Amino acid sequence: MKFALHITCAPYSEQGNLSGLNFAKAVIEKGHTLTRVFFSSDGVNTGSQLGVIPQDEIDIPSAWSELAIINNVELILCISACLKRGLLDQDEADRYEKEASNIRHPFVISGLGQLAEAAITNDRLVTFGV
Amino acid sequence: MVTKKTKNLLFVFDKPPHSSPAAKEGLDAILTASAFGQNVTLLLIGDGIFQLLNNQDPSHLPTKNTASIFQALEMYGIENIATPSENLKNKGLSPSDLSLQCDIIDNIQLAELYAKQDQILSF
Amino acid sequence: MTLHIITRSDSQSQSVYHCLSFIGKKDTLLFIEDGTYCILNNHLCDTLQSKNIQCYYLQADLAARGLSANDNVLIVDYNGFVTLTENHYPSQTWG
Repeated sequence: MKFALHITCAPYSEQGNLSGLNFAKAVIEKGHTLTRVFFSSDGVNTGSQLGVIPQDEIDIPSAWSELAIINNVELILCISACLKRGLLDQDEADRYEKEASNIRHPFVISGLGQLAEAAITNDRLVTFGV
Repeated sequence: MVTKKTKNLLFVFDKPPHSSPAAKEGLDAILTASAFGQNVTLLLIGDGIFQLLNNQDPSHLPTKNTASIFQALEMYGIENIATPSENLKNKGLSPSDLSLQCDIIDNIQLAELYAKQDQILSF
Repeated sequence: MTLHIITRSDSQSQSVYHCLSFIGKKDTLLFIEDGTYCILNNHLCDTLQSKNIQCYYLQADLAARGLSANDNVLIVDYNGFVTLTENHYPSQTWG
């Protein structure tokens, strides 16, 4: 089966982000395809490369990056949620003349069409963080 | 498995206005899905019905007047907006308290609504 | 056959009661995160059982919170969570 996830909460603010990560790992372990994880609302904070995580805690953003790189999963950050929260890739930083960009690899900023497409083209869409 | 290109998508809003951006983000999502040609339904449940309460004036905060976006949904082809009658009654509200006409459905119709859906997105 | 994923306790949120108002025996509830505290509400659990609604609890969240399962509920790990989403379609996550 093809799965997509929708994550709406930030890592460390609510458990949903970690629950989504654990579910994502289980989807892959069971042999399904995880095509895309779409982050909206505070979930876009997952895509920041600036977080400093204490060594005795799981590094959730890094775990998402690693899962995506190894398993070829798209990590999409909702652009309107990103702009409001100061998550900018280089293009957006240049467009809005901001001092820096801060998106970690391999997260990508894109529009809500990616969430709609995920709902349409995947067998299962599961939400975490509401 | 053959993937249907037109799906029945249910958008569920259960949060009130102004204290969180959930409804604004949900509205953007339902408008996008509708633009993609999908069969969308909006369900307002729990405190989500407060999104439609008349006479909202967030100008003193200020926050976005999301109530006016709901009223524009029909213009964008989104006509299936439903809310459970039981929820309305529990909150002491009647249809005349709402800023737009929506389908007031009983629990059996609510179950039937859910049974028709391909995906559910919650905001 | 919808999978309703309950993430909040019955005192944090009314969501489990919204579900109860319309779900039937073909639907399934999965309690995760703070939703696992619902296991302590005997009246709620009895009501769900009387309606023949299958209730699953996520083991990792029960254990984290020091909660124990009872005979009336089913326990799953994340692998089982995925299986539930395979067999139930669609899913709704409730806050």
